[in-house]
Amino acid sequence: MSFAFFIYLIALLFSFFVVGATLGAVFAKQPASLDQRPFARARRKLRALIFGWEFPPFNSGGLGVASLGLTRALAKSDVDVTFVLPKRFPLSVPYAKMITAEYEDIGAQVRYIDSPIVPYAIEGSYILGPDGKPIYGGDLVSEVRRYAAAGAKIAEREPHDIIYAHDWLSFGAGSAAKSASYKPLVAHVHATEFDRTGNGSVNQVVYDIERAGMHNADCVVAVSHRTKGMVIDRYGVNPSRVRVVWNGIDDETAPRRNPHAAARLAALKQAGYKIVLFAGRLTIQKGPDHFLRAAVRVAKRDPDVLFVIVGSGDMTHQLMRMAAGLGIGDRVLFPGFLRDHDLHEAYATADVFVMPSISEPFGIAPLEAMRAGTPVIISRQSGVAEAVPHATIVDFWDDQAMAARIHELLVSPQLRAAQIAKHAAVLSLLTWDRAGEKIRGIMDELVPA
Amino acid sequence: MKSVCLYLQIHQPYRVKRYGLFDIGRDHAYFDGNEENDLNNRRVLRKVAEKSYLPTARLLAKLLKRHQAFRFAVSFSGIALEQLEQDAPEAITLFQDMVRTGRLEILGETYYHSLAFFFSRQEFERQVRKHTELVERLFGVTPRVFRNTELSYTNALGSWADERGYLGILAEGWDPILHGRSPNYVYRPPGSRRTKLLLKNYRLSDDIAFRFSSREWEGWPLTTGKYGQWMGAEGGDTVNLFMDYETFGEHQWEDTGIFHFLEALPGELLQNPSLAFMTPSLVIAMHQDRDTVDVPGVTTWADTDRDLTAWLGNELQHAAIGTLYGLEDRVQATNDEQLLEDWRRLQTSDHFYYMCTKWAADGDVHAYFSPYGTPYEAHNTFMHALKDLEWRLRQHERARVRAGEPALV
Repeated sequence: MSFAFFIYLIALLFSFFVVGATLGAVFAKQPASLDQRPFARARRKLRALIFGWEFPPFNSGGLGVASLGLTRALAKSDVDVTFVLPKRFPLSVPYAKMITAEYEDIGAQVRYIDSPIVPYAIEGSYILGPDGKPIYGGDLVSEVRRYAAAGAKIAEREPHDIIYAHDWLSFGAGSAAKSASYKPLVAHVHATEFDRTGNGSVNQVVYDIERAGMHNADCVVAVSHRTKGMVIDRYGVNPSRVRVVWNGIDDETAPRRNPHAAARLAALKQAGYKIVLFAGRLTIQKGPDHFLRAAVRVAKRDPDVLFVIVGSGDMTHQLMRMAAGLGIGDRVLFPGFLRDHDLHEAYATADVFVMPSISEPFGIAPLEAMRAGTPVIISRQSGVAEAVPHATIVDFWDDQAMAARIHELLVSPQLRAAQIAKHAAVLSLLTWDRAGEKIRGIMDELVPA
Repeated sequence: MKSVCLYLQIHQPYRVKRYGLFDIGRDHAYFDGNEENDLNNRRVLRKVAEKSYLPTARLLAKLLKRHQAFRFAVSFSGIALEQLEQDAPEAITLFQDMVRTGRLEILGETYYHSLAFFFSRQEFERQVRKHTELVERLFGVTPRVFRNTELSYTNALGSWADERGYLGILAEGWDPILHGRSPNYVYRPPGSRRTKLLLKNYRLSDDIAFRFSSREWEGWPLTTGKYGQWMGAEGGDTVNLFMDYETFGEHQWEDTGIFHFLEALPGELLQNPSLAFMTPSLVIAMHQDRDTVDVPGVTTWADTDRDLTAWLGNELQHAAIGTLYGLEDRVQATNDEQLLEDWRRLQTSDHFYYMCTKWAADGDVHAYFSPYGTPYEAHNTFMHALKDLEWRLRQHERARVRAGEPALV
């Protein structure tokens, strides 16, 4: 018995060592932060023409957040950014020149076709313009083609050393720009069609646009090693042309806090409730149904747990019925889409945050939860799991294990504290500035001196 | 002599205002919506009072005065009476005057227009008692005939009414329970010693309540002459016309001519010497009951299904109502009057009706009656308010534990 225990201790110590070594190796790969580089100012200026699709506050998801984070970081890395958006948004930022592909004289002729594709599936958080109306209509593929048609004209007009395109929506425009200026093209893959559909029915049109964009690019940037694998395996891109740059988080991209707001959800906690939080689009990709299956198991063991599902999407109604049908209709709350301080407060109040995504290229939400001081459980099928090795990792389909991990974190303040204690160190390495530095390095390789 | 038995239902729920996650534990006033929308209960009541309650009451009072042989019945939910007392007291006065003529009968029901009978017999009894007390206070009469929420009926309810000594109980004259018999007779529940069953003639009732202004209907336009002929042609002892009071002026707007129709109807029918207006109690007194009607399941007057599926047809509704009644013992244990009142107001059947997801022809009716955008929004709002109610229960229970008392008495 005692011998078995001894072996167990040895194994435990060894696993700590492995985890520590992995952490060290992972972080060693990242460049030091900008302020520690005395010669950063001496670098040559690069001019980047970046094609994007959305930009905060006119965004419906992580793509816009990443666009903001990276653009600002590139500006700090001596890159003059011209950021192109397909439509006219009333935007102005100090670190980039914002332009629109909506010039009258571009004369992009696109035949509009009926298409079932909608950005980020169907949801209550469409990108809304200043008039409160959705900016992109239902015919997304036509929008993408119109944008692509404008790419070449913009490249002729805007001087640049390198072209950069965020996700398939902008790949066509990036490729067209490259054919006009012969400058190197970087395709940044934030998500693939396989992720968005939860590996379900892939739309061939979207896949073809993605594939062509990646093959036209001189370098493909993937948001995780997981995504890099997909780019290689499913899109046939030469591995030597694929780089990994993790997403990040910082003050500007995290949910905006209001330091003067009252702690509204504290009332729930004071009454003895524990809160397990899901926050994301309610679509198949994000695995909210797996969250509910785990919730049933946890709810049976602990009458004090509430499950809060923040977000909206095409599965909202299905999930509400599912919760009711599973007998936990009174234990699951659906507050809908939250932003800014409301979202921050949900993160900060939760006892555990769960991201059970079926297929997640990266997944910024757990970083937001960590920033708010909350322990996180992440599916093994998400890219962010590579970047936060101290988090609790489960397979999205294993609701039994997911429930067990939730329960353990809920009942053990020590376990919670142990994870939270590591948050700050991990987050300090996951900044947009670091991601920007890495991309600047890629640009240096691609742009001839 | 054939009876014409007209009964009108008056009910207004306390709708739950816009209520969400951040309100739990902080805002316990679920029913005090004050925006300019249909979740503002006082606003709705004043609007309906203006369009229906008051003009119809004035007209009915006039008709009682004009025709000494005109009689009818009204059933009010307790919470409708409360709201009328507060925001349309003139309506209460008008009804008090009409009751004094002896030709307006007030029926019994649950105070909160609830489905308590199907979930908690003891809560049901308490609500019926509370309703009886209010009717006695306002009108000085004790209801002798009972009708349950949305005309829901089952054998067990008939037995209950019999035990409580009611003369009669109302139900839908739905074909599957009649087995080819006419609704136009007095019946009795199985094993009943005293209580009789009055069944709604849904064809003639709905000709007024639902079809009156429908131009697709071959009976349109409906005149009192035409309607009088149909009434005269009916066989049996009594034609029971049961409908919402708001048919007059709210479901059928004034410009459809519904008030002219109502004004002319008694005179028209009274021209026929074989017809006589009777209240439910009089119908039961005058006519021998013909047969037993066996209703082992539940019938209601709603939708084309005539069952409880408008309120209890999907998981959302079951989750909501199941959770609500599951709190009964804990609510009673608090001795907190306000908490008990809020719990009861949440029992009002309308909350569950708003959560109905049947989207055939019935769905249109549900959408018409719902102040929420979707059944899911209705469910979500309700569940958040219910979570707050549970939060309040927890406060009581934690205080008891701190005081060293058992959590539940």
